[in-house]
Amino acid sequence: MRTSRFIMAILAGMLALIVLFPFAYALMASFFAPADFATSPAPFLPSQWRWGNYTRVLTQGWFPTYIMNSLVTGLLSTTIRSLVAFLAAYAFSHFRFRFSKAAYLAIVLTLFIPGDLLLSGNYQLIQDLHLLDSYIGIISTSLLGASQIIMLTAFMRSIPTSIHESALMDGTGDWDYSVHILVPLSRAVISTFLLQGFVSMFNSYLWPLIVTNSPAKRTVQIGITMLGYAESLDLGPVFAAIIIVFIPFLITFIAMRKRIMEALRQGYMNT
Amino acid sequence: MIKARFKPYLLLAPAILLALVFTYAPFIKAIVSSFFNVRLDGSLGSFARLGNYAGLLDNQIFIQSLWNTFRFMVFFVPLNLVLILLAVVLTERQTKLNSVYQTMFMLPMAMGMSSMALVFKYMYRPGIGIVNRLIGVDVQWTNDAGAAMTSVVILGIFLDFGLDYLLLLAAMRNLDKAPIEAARLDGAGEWKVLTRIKLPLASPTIFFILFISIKDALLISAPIMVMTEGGPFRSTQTLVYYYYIEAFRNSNHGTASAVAVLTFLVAAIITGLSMIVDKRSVHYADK
Repeated sequence: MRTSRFIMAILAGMLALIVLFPFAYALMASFFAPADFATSPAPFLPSQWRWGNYTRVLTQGWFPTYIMNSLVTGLLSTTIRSLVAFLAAYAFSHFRFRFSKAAYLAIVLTLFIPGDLLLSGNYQLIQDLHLLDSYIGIISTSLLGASQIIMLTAFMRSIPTSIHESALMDGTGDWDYSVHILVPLSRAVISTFLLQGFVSMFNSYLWPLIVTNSPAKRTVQIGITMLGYAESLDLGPVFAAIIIVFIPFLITFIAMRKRIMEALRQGYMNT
Repeated sequence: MIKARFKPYLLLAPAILLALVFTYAPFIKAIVSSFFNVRLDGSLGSFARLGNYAGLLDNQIFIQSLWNTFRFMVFFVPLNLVLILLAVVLTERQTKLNSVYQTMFMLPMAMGMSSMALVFKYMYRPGIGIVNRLIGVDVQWTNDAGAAMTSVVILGIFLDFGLDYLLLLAAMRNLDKAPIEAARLDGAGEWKVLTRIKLPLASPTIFFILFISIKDALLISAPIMVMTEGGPFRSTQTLVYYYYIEAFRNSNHGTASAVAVLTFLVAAIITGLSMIVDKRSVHYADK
């Protein structure tokens, strides 16, 4: 028993080393001088700790703009998407109306259609609306979170109807009921959505790539591949940029580890 | 439940409108375009019947993209699942050491796709890359057609590892305790408890991960764009990448739509299967 547990811990450790390696290498490479990238055999540690890579990528070029664009589009898209999902789920769970089933089905079926294959139709629309190179253009295709609507509807339906009925009897309107009762009750679900929505907008690649031409509107995911240092093998600043983007997510994920696990258990993250 | 005349429609309007404008309209447009000769600006020309589809069959580049996607799937899906199972089995017991491992294994979730693809691109560099030095070989990772697919599969596994690991770990944590305790009381060893009881109980989640990874494999394109740009010699160009090139570089909208429609069909089948499986897993969690 003892030995088998020991062996398992060793094996897990080896696996962890492999998983961690790209992160460790990226961290080291963020301090590399251009020459370190051309040395053979490839070094793991930098020849000297060049913090300059960080200051360069943060002060020169477009990287700060990319970060700003990602933050703005991420927050905008997440907020609108959660709001749209909340309204729709509220309608599905609290009202009886004609076409309710059909509307629900129309939302669910969007999950069967991968967005990456709709790029050309959506691009033409955004082009016709003159929304290329705009925040609205970038977030437009991410505003409908079908799986969020499904989960939130299921959650709201699980809230006893007596709560809503007694609120109605007291003359509480939709707004007060939502803000004072529904939102606090669904806080755990919604906060997971916010994190998930932000991460998915932040990570999206193809759509922001095709609807932006000017570097002034590029997001980090695209911009980071076009920082312009690669030609001269001066990759240190590229890795510094990668680390700068990684750190806040690392902290968030570790801090929210328990909540993410809980959300996963309940199936909220299935996309 | 209240009956109301206008309110629910108003509440639903944004969601339905978004679904119509950004999903159904382009979807129908793709289906229609796939039967027409489409002009460069995207407007419909003459009716082509099945011409676009027939053209794909003679199209070497399409066949190769299809083959590449298939090759990626065949390597990625089983390898991905085995590694995740291994990682979860090794670390699912709740100990201090394991909670450190668990945090490490979810790290890949926190790095963005294109960042990860860039890191791998530079680690793989032939001659002077760190990967070759570590394993003491001189493989032309991204310059050799055979090795390039391997390098893409490894990247794919890293990209999905964090989320899949957490999904399965969460499922294992929340298994019904009664049969596990009963087996232990009957004197079953840990290995037996794991293989005969825990893994079968977690099977809905395992199947779910399997379907999601099949779908991811079918649709993979962006990480490849960043890392190999489909090369060398189109050896890593996949279906969706081919769609992207036809639609946006060659303005071949008819062909692109036909590729999209075929991929839709396969993706819909996979999503349907995954939903059936997912329903079962939700059912398990309720019990």
